[in-house]
Amino acid sequence: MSSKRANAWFISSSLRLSFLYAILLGAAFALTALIVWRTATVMAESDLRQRISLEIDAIGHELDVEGLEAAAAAISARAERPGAPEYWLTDQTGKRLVGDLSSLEGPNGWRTVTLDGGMAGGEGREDLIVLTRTFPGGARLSVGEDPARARHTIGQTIAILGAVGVVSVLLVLVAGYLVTRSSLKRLEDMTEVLNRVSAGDLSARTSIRPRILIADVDYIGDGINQMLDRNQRLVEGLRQVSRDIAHDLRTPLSHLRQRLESARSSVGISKDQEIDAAEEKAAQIIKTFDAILRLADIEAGSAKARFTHIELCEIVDTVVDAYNPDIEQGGRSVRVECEQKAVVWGDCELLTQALANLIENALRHTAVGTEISVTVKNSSHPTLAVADNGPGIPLMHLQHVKRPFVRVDSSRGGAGVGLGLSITNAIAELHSAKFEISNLNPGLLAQIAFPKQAA
Amino acid sequence: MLNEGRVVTRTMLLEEIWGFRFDPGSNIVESHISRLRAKMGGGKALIATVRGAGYVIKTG
Repeated sequence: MSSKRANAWFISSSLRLSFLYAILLGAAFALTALIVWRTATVMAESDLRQRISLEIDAIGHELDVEGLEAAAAAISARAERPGAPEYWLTDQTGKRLVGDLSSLEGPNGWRTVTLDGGMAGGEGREDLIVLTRTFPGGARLSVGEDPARARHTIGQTIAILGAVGVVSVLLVLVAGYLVTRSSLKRLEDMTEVLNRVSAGDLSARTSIRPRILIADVDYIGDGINQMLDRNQRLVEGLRQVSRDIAHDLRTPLSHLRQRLESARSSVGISKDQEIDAAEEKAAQIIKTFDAILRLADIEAGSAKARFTHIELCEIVDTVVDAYNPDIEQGGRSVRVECEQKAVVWGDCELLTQALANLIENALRHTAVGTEISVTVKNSSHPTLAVADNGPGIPLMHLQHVKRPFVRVDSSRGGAGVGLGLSITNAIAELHSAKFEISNLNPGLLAQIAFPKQAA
Repeated sequence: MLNEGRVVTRTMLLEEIWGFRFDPGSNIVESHISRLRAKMGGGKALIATVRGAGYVIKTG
């Protein structure tokens, strides 16, 4: 486990990224420091030369206006100021007037002079940038300044840059570590959930973090949760259906066995009757199986390949024609309101069955004298509706009636297998239509609302 | 009278007449047959039920 965890750290993309980022950041800081150092050094030196040059110009002016004596006095005063440059002034004979660094003496122009200790400051080796000029009249002045002071400032700047760089790199690494730790934890969480689901615990879910902390990995977690929700629903639906099938077939099968047993002990006409009854029971069982297969077939969606344009009124005509004698013999009446040209994209056979199921339901669960109305409305969303003025469905059952094997009035439900509305619902879903059942008080409305049809 | 003398099953009737490829719970075929018989004036002899199979049209 620990090596697995170490491996997880090693292969973690966020940690790799943060290392890469830290390296790039460090390189960027180093490059910046180098550029700053080069630029600042060059600028500082040119600055220094400009100052020395100006200094000599100013002294030359003084010398011109006030004479050598006064200029020498002024230079002595300037030399006393803190941070002042080094001066070396000689008269036309070469005699020293100001200054204590004879090594500044040299030819006119720029040069660099190296001093070995012995300076007033007491520092060790020093490089001075020196400018020497001969004034009209023969006096010579050298002014030298140490660029080290400027370099010191540059050095400090670089040091600060370096410190900021190191801190930034560390921050990146720490952030990378934290992010990696958090995403590894999320991934471990997900792995554990998946393991638990594999082990059979369908209710396991990854934890949901508050929106403000959400990260890319959490979307995977969300996806996993949605998938698990769907799986759990499907599996539970499947379990429920299997239970219902077992339950619904057990009773007729045991009736069948009873009939066969009593047929064995009967003779003559009553034997035939018992066998007939057994046959009827078997037919009922087969019917239930057919309906289950039918439902599975519809839900598989293969009928979609057969879809064509269907005129809803034609279906209504066919189905009502088929059921008319039944409806009338049952003492009920049917009214048809059909808006022509209500065309939907669908399967004729399935839509016929959907309507037949609704009409059969209306026939089976209403009292004699009930009026059944079949309506087709032609709009952007065509609808097919079957309504009756019967007793409706108690509110507590209304939401369950579309489920397989749910029968509301179990006393009279013997004739049906309890799959009619499930099949109609599956057919509606196949057509992307909405199948809704609602109470009309009095009566029941079952409506299939088709989606907007393409022109 | 094309199928004269031949047994026509309930499933065949459902498919041929209404295009029902499923088994309706109601006895719609039986209802139609009984109507036909009534219209033909007690001609029970014309359309005979074949138990467990379907119907057959008899002549003469």
